[in-house]
Amino acid sequence: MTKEAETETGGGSTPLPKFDLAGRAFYFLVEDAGRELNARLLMAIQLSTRGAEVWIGQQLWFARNFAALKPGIALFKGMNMPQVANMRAARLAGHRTVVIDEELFGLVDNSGKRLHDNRVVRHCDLFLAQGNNQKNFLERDIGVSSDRIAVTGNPRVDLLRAPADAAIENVSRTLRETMGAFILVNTNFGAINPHDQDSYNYFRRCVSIQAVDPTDPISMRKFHDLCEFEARNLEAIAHFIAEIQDRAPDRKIVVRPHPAENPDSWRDAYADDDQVVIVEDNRHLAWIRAADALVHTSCTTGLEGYLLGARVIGLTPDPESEWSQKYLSNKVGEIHTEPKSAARALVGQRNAWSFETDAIRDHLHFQPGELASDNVVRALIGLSRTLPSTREASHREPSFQSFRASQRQLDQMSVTEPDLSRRLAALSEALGERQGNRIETIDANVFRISATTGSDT
Amino acid sequence: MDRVNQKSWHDQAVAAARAGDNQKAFELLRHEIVFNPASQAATCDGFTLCARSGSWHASKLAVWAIRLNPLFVSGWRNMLSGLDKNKVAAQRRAIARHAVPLTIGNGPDTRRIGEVFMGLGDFSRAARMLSWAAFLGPVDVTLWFALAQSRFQIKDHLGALVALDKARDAGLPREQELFWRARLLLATCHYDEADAVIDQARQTSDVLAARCRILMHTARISDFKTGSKPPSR
Repeated sequence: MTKEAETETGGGSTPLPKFDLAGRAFYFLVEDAGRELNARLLMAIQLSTRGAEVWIGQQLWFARNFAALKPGIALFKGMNMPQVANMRAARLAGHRTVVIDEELFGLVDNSGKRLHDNRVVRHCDLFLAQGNNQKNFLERDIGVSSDRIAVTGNPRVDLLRAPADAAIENVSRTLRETMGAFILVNTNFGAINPHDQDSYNYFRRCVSIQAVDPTDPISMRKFHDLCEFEARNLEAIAHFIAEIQDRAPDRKIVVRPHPAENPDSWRDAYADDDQVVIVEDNRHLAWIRAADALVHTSCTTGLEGYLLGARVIGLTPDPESEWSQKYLSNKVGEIHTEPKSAARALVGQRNAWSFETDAIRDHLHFQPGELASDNVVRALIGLSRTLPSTREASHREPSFQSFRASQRQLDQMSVTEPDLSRRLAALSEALGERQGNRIETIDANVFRISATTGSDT
Repeated sequence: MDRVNQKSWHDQAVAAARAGDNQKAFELLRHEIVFNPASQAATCDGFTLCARSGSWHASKLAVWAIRLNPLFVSGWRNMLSGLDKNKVAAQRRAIARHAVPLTIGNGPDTRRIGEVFMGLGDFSRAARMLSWAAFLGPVDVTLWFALAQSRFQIKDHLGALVALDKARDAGLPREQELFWRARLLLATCHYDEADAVIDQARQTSDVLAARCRILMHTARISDFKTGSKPPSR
């Protein structure tokens, strides 16, 4: 191994050296732009600067077109059955597959095997673990050998810390100017208030992706427990809002339903209430930063808000329950079991915010001065060396199969080229990256990013 | 274009389509059909291969072949009947979408495509095709029930209710009717009526009682705001 290669693959906070990736292709499959897109763009910037081309877009478009794409590195967002089926398709088309589990970000116990299809061991080349806890889980419970696991942290954390958090600032300032001061309530009731109308549809979806086994009494008990857990949390949030309205009738409350929820239920409930505003906006980090405080009921945004330096109040009416214990967000910030005490604390003096990482250290790897996106890029570059080097075009004619997204899929992943360009520019500026990027639209919500050459400028 | 090495244009087209060259496949199949119009297999294979690869040639081929010889429809019909055997959902979807022009004016064909979309979870298209099928006839309880389900999924609650009533009148089993009526009533915030229906459904069978337990987890408007009343939807 060359010295350069050693530096690329090694861990630590060493800056990434220049390494020529010309002719190499990286495919970043996105399910939910609000959750994943900016974190992927951080890595796209790093890779395109080194000459690689990065394809980023709707995950199901890639699933249909792996065979038409030049062999490269395909980065997946999860390990459940549909994801593993697509990994298999990618591998059959000659790609290398990598997974960073976005569903686990914010979870303590890796959700047992609920989010994992055991075939992932066969169809995934490299596992990017967000912390030692997940690494141990992958080795012990899923059977992944340690040489296929890299503990990288999650690049979503980078967006919450300097220097990349500067990219949020402009949006949050605009929100603050528009909305004034407000309390943000992020909800998380995808099982009892699902976007597709009722809990039975949610149940059918869980069964179809094998997250729930209807023939297994334990699996069914867990499903009912989840619904009951959400019902208790919903009751707590409703009472909390009522308490704030009693104590501070002039404080605006912004409710941001989870993207998996039906926002119409909230709109109907607060239709005649000027103090409560319902927003659907996937720029959730900017909303958190703009808010006076974030209130949540076991939502990952609680963890994100904490890492962002926001005041975070967790409402956990049932702190000892199995579901409450699952969430990292319940281990950070201020935790209240009673809506009344949460409202009292919020309306009263602000507590001194202190950043304690001990409670989450094993779950979420991060070090001062180190970017998780650097760690991921190192791992991806290492894996890309196992591909044959070629400078051919990254796709073979004839044309690609188009993918017509459903409304639901568009709600999750819909981005225009100007929007992508803006995001990329803001992140490049925050990172101090001077190399320009060229964006080509390949299909609806699918883009190719490469570094600009002299002739582009 | 000539036949090469005694291979039919059809054989060559299949080979070309397998190699990913849909354009060539289409041209070869067009020759095969022009010179051998009785070959239903050629038309169906060409359509399947083009549709499966997502090529727009599939629709073109379908319309063109029917104009050439309306008898080809029977071949398409056989192919559509066996569509469920195709395990790849994306291919089933592509074939079904491209086969839509074939069904125009024919109730059973329209219904078949609607059922395929239903199985694929594409409820917008399913509702559209099943509505057409109901208009064209013949109609039976299964069609009304499928229509009620697909309309419910696209939040056409009134349309779903009409179809469910028709299904009930056509002999839909009582437990199915109760469960779906309960879902409709919950979705439209008619909670008192929904509770009454769910009470009946629970007593019908253990299976339905288990389903109702899941359904009852659905949050109601009053859960979101203390003291709120349900809106009229």
